[in-house]
Amino acid sequence: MENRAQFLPLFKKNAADIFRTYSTVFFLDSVAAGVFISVTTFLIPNIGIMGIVAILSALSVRLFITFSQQTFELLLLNSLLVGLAIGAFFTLNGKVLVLTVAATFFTIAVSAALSHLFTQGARLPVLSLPFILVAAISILAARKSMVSESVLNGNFYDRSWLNIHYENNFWINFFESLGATYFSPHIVAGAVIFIVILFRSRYLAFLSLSGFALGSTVLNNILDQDTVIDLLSWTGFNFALVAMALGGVFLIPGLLSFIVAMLAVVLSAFILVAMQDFLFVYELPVLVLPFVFITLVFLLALRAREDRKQPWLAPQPGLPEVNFENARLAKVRNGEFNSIPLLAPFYGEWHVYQGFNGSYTHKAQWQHALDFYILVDGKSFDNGGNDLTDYFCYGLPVLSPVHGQVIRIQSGLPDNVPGEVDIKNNWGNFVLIRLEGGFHVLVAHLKKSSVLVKEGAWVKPGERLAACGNSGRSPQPHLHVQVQNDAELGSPTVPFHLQSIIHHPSDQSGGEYRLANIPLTGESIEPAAIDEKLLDPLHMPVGRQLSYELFNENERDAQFVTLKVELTLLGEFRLVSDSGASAAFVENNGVLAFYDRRGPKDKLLDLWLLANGLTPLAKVVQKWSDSPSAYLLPLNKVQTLWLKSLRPLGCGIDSRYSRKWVSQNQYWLQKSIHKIRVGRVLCFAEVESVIDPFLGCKEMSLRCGPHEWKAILKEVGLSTDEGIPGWTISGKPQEISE
Amino acid sequence: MQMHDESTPTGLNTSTKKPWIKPTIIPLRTGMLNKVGANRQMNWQESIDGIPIKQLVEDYGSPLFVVSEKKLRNNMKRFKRAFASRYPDVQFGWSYKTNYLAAVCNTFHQEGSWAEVVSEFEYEKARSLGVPGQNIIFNGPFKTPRILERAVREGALIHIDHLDELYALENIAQGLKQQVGVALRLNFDTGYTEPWSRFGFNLESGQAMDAAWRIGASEYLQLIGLHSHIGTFVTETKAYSKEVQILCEFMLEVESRTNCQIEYIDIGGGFASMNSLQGVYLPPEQVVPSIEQYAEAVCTPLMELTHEREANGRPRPRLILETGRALVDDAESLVTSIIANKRLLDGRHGLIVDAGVNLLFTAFWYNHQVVPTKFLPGKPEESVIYGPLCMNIDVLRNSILLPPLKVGDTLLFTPVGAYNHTQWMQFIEYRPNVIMIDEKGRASIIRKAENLSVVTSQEVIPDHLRDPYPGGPLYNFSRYDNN
Repeated sequence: MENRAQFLPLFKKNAADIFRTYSTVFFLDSVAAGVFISVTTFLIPNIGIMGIVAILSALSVRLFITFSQQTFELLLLNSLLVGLAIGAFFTLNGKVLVLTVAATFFTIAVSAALSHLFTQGARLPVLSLPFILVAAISILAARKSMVSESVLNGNFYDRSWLNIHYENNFWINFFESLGATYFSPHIVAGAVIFIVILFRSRYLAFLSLSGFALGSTVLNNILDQDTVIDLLSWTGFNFALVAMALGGVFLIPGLLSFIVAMLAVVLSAFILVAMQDFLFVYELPVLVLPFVFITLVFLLALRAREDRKQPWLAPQPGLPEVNFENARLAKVRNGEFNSIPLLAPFYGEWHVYQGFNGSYTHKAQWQHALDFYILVDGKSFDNGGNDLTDYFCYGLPVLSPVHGQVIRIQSGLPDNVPGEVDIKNNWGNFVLIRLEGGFHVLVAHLKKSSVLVKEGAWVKPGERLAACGNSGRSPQPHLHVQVQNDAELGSPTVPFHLQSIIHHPSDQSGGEYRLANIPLTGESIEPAAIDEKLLDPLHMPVGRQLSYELFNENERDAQFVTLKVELTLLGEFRLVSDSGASAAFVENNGVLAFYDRRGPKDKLLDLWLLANGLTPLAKVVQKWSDSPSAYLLPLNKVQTLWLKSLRPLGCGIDSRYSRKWVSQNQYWLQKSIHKIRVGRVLCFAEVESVIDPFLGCKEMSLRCGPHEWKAILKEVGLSTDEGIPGWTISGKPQEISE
Repeated sequence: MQMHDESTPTGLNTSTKKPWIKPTIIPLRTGMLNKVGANRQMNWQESIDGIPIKQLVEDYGSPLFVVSEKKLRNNMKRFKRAFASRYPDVQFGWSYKTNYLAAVCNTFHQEGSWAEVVSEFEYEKARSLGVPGQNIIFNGPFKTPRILERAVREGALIHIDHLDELYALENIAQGLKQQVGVALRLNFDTGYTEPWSRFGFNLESGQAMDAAWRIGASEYLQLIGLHSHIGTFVTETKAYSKEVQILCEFMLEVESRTNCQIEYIDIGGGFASMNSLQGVYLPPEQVVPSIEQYAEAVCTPLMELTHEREANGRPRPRLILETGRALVDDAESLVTSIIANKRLLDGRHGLIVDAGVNLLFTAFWYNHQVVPTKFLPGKPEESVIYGPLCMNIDVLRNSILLPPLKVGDTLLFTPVGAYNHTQWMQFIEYRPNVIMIDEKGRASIIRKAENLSVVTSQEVIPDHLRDPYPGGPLYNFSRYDNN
């Protein structure tokens, strides 16, 4: 019994890994999709069997060697493809079986090697490059020694039942070509695969179609008919894959990434023709070589850009819909995708002396930098300005804007007399901090001997690093901040933004809280102090459980739903509801922010996300805005369908928040209004959240058309862990029970 | 503001005929022995914020208090900058007792200050100006039960001065069924200033910890703040470093022992203004630290002592300052006119002006800067400035070098912004207009001059005393008495 209990989950996990591998060829990452696709490979049993043999051999490696999850997925994918390829070229017999297993181990080695090389060095995906190498070598090596013949040599299936002239039919070519990705150029296989793609992601299906249509058009124009048909059904999937990879998986979907993808498709058609002729000499198939080549080239080229304009590279490959939603939310919240968040490196109100792409030194590859100083009535000093101490910012504390490790410091350079510069030591005294993500933050022109941290020290935001000074290329005391790729001084800068600040426009007309902001020259900012009364109750450690009683207009009885904080393997905190729906969140830099909502519809989680999805923890904040996903709102079926067809990649709500402290009740009242236009109808929701300084969010309510939801906190608790008993507190304060 | 010195006499009459200069009598002395003390009476000042003082006196009369809104705002901005650029969470509470003219209070409130009040009247005044309860810091040894309950209901920050107040507060909280966050006023010896042991709970003797225990044991009170005020006109910045250190150490102790969470530390006030204390040898320019020096002295130890707390994921406590004098003093001047000249028996010159200690209460402990409002020819001689009161103590300056002045000439007393409007008295005189010059250079009255009806408005005369001479003014008193 015990064995069985252990065996079942192990079997489930391995089976899931196998089927998921089938789906990753088309970037689908879904077990269900993999099941359907794997079935289609058995339309030609020889191919299907070899595929399974290869993937099982690869899976067995897990018993002996441990690879990272990423590498493991990569070697599974490539082994599968190698197996399918051998299945297509040789009929199953003992020798071929041995060849398959041998080729699989070779694939594992190549995949692991390339994975290390690519991810550590060029930060590129390996794709199916190992497969191409191993398949080519295996075929060349085996051709002389193997007696068996390819199963695909004859007319292995009859198209006559279709009763159409297939050669000019776009759909037949398209489906056959999709099937050929798994070495089964069968119309049924292709149709199943397309339906699976369509279910998983409409946008990927659209991309595959557009890619194939454009690629085949190009081929038709540069080659004669007969060659095209064969070439298309065997290699046309390259166009679909290129379009999918560049149009939405590795790039954030958008008009520009679509154009880039289509350009790559056209180029890949030429590469395809060239490769075909070149490899023909050795009687080798082209396989996915055009796709791998053009995708890697384009990704490298896009990464080499100096600016970070569109099309943006996705931080991790994913479904276009997910990529788009993450990028959209990031853009709404941070202003720019891929921008590094920093906290203000000082206290109080400082002015921007020179902003991004500034007029003095923030140019070209050093354009992403901010210079700060303090201005009073348009002057940075009083008492004449001949002494450094006359300058308002001179000697003020400089703080760490990030979590990270100090890797280099300089602190012995003298402070210049006002007006003089030291161009030998451009940066003067500085502190260079390495972030966990590999980026580096530089704060420079510090006061002589003021650096308080040592090389190797770990610092956290707000920690005092040094004092503002006038060393290096600095004619007057100021603080220089930039984020750069490398640890070298003067290496190219990358965009960053400041989080949780009060922003004053250059005409000084009042200040407004901004979650994320890149201040311009002449504007001024000050950090917003975090309030313990908000930080404490909204802090959500792993295992925190919040149980709510949920009332809604349809059901008479209240539901009892629990939200629980879980920590994923990748170190992501997620708030998970009873239904399995979840959303990731971060609570740093003075903001509690939720993102990446997954799973089925869930009233309580969606209500929580609307009410508290983005909550600044600074007391001074009274108003802010956000744009979470539209599907958080209680939309009806017609509205949902309408939105999905109009905005297939997803869209955000115009959400405006306001918060005030209600002193007679001793709680925060956080109100939000969410608006979205569906066709001509305005969907409008009013949400309220009551935040108790002891219990946290103790009440939420929503009013949206006919819907009226209300959730009341019943219990706060911490789930039991090994050696740590759980505890709960009921909705009324100060009744703790274990 | 136009400042001149004698070397550039722009106001001098340039006609060939020399003006008549009044003769002066000056005792012969062996020159100045004071090598550091500059002569502070060399200048004169013709205008305030661009408006000629002569014009102001013509429009609003003499004596006249003049407040500069620009100076108030600039002071507040500079103070905020000094602290907020050195510490993450700083809040100023405007000390009402220093100057509670509504226009002055609201200028500070507009600059982000809360209200620091010490009595029922001040609390009600702050509320009537529109300051919400949660922006009021309520200090002082005497809070009436009525106002204490109101403060609790309105969420004010209440600083407990003694145990009886603690009990009263607990009763009120119990009655309202409300958790009340409170702070303790502490007193201790910093080694630099005279400890004010009559206010709050003494730290060294253990009173403070006892009170914290008592609050920790209470079902209705929560200790959320610590408050102390080490003195007034403190010119030694180290005193503040020591104060912060003692408060932080007590914070850590009280948090760990009574399981409370201190949200703020209030270091009170006491920063000196650019004024010259009587008996202090050096001029204020050399004695009084700049606000940046105070800020450095407060924030450096505060940052160090709260570092660990921040490292543990809790924000640093809010720093509250109740600076009064240093913010407002130099933003106000008093214009007063010469009523008469006298020769005193000891040979010194005597001046009588129309403002006395009834208006300038601070003249008891300051040697204010006194300057003429125009260039005056003639040699300065040692003079005494008397007020208009029929009291011997009505002396504004005991000794000052002034050139001869004529009746009707005006003198400018500065800085006079602190404590004069809250401690002045209505003794035999009407209090004059107080005006404010706004940032655009326009003058307006912020407190009207008193008249008979103002001074007598609160009086109630019993019916039988309504008439001073019920029998007619010529009635024979002796005959009346005999009846």
